[in-house]
Amino acid sequence: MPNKKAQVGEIVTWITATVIIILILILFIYASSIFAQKTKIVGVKNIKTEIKKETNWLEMKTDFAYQLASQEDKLIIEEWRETHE
Amino acid sequence: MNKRGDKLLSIYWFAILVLIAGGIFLMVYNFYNHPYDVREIEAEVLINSVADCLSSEGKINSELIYEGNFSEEFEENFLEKCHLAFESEVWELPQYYTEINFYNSSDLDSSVFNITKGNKNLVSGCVIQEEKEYEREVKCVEEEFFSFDENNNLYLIKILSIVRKTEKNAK
Repeated sequence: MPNKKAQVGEIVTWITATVIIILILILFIYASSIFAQKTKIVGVKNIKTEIKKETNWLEMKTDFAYQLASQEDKLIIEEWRETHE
Repeated sequence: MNKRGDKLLSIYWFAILVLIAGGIFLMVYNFYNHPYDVREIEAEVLINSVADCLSSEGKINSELIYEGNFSEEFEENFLEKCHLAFESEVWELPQYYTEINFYNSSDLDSSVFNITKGNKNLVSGCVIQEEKEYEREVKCVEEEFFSFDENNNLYLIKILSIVRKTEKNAK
């Protein structure tokens, strides 16, 4: 009898704790779903610009053409590169 | 003294453990249930394959252009010439589309020749892709490079590559 209020108080504490645990779990499950969507896209756009430029196959083809180009054509390629960087 | 209370508390603790374990299971399942979306890389690989077929060492393929004229025969048999197969037993419709435009260096805005192969319906996917709701429908990649023909005329070659395969790459 004398412990009735203490027991009720303890139960209320545990109910609150349970609710908080459930809410945090829901938040984490939702976050894992969002995280999965964002990180599972495999692409080259995330690579640093310098590395991407060195390994870009089409960039190398343009370099080949640049080496074969006349002065006039070199200017065209340079101007194109400036607008596309 | 409060043995009944202790028993109830043990059951409660067990229930909380099950709840947390279930939550962790759901998190892991959720994360690993999402497939990897490799379509962007696939589109880049397609572009590289097409580019290798069209041009080598700065020169356009002689089967494609001869004496300043583009070959219609090459355009019709483009997939066979470049060893590409857009059809598949797994998919009812082709899941790829590629469009190649050639621009003379004197006018980089007007295409002088055009090759399109694959499922043309995928092109509209590139436009609506910008809306968040449809961003996973298709993956579109466009690249361009320069190359010369045999008469040393400079051409800008733009290659657009589209990959669908939504069911395998997006959820």
